[in-house]
Amino acid sequence: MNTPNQTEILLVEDSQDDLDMTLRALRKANMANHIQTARDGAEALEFIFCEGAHAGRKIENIPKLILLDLKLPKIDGMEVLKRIKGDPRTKMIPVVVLTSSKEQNDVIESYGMGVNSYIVKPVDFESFAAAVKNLGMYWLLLNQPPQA
Amino acid sequence: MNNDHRNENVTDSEARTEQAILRTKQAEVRTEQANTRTDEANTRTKRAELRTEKAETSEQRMRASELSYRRLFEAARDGILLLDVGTGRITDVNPFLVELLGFSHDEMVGKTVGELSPFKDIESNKVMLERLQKDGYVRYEDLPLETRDGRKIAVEFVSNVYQAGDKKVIQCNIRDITERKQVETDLNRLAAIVESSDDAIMGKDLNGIITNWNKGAEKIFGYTSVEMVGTSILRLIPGDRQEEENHGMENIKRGKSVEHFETLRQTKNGRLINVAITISAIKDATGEIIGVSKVAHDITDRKMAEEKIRQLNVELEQRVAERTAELEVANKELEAFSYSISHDLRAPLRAVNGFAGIVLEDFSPQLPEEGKRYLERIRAGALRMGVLIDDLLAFSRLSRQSVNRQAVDTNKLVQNVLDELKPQRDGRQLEIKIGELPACHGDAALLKQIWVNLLSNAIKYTCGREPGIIEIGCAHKNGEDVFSIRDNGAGFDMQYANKLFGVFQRLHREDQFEGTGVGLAIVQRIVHRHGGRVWAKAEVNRGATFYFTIGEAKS
Repeated sequence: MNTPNQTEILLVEDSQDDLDMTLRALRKANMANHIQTARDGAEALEFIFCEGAHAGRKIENIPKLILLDLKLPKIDGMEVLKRIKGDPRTKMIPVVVLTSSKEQNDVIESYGMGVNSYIVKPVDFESFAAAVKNLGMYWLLLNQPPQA
Repeated sequence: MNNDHRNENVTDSEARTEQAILRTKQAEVRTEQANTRTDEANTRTKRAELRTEKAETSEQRMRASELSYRRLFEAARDGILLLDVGTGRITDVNPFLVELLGFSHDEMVGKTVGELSPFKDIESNKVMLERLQKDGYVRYEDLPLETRDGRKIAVEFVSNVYQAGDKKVIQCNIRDITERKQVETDLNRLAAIVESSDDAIMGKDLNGIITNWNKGAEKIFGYTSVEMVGTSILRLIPGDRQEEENHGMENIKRGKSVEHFETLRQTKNGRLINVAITISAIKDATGEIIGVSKVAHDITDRKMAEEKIRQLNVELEQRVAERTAELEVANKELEAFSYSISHDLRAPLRAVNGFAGIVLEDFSPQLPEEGKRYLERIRAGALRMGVLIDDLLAFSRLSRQSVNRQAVDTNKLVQNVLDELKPQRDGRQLEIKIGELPACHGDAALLKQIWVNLLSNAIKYTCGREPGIIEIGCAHKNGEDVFSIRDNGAGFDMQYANKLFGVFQRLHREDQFEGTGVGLAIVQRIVHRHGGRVWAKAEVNRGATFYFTIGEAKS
């Protein structure tokens, strides 16, 4: 799944089911190129900050979008979000929380840390696919990021 | 009294020589001791008789002594009556008695003592005379009299028989003891109060030596008055508190009139007791402090009660703190539980729904129609489970959510809710009648949830009615506003009314009217959290009416 060129999307998701469905939805929307996956918070941070297995990566090559689940093994999504938004090198990366949680506390806390979008994964498969497609369209195609 | 007036009488009286002689003899007796105690009167009479004999020998001396007796008679601060020894009739009255009784000299002279109204209680003239003959004197220690103007007085009444020359005469001395008696009564009363008090009342001098010790003190401290009077007050004061005594005394000496404090004292058997002490200065007539009075009240019981209350409060606070901590833990656990449900239960449902959907999408051509229908039902089942989880979470969240009461415009709220329910109303023939709805005091968001649930139920269960009629109103009953939502829908059998507000309890099948059975449970919980009530009346196929109150705001 590693891409030779620049990573467009970092998908942080521990559930294989959700991962497969998300990837399928992105594929159906023709946005499946250049996707990096991380299965827990620690792996996500290693990739983003070019540490461990990703020590050779250049931090300047920031992904265009990070899709972040909140409930993750090792380091949870909230901590990952905090580290991304707390570092000047990475804080410009759009982060979309894509989670099962409808808890208002999670929503409020995420926005407080500068999340760019908060999306609750719908149980309904078609709604889920549509949501993934739409957010990919918006952040990768419509949104105009600042020049690096 | 006014001596000038008396002097006039002196000259008048010189004519009455016979009486004067008699008086002269007695005067010598009285001269020695004008206000003599009557007990001694008898012996004096004897002496007087002796002197009388001598006096007769000298005319000059006699005249002089007569004059001096007369002055004493006139000026005496006791009442004096002179009686004829034979008849017992009054021969003379001194001015003091005239003044004391309110009868004039002339009104009294010539009468017997018993004939004078003030003396009506005295024994008969005859009896008195006989006793005088026999004993030489009669004495009444405390004789009640009533003066002419009705004033009640007490007198000491003493009669003596004197030999005056060849004649005997009776002199009655009448002393007003009313005031003295009153003082005695007052003193006795005070003494009785002090003696009967349950409090310890003690007197001590400036050196702390006990001078007075009442029964209360005996009871509280265990020492008798014999044991304590004359000894130091320090016997009662525990060793580590002896400084207290000096401190209190210093304050009193410095002019502080009263000192109050609570402290410990030691009883005879060594027990320590709690006492409330009041110290005040005892001053003599010149205002100089000569001692201290000390009143000690045993407050051991009160102190024990206070201590008990304090302990109970500590225990109570501790228990409240423990309970609060337990509740906090339980709440945290519940939150974690809900969070976990919110995340973890939904994920597999998404997989069930998702992969069934993927199979349908990717492998549709290979599937028989029946297979596709089953896959659709798998997806629907998962979706429904998702809704159940959401509703259950919403319901459980209600117990943790605080109720923030504020004034709520019910008319506006109901209108907003109906607007929001427009998608549900679309395509339906509905008559919605809204009556006068009073404002209420409750949590706006929670109240809205009540109306959403009840109105969407009304819309749902009138499905198939042409038209569906929904009436929203409010009645003021027994001091509270009762809101009501009436519909002409499916209604329900009242025998199942008890199940109406239970979680996941439904009175209709899912294929008749969809729903999870949480809506009314949520309504009830919100109503209860406001301190209100909710109930319903219905009839199968004739509609249902839901009623609720939201209680009063607690101040």
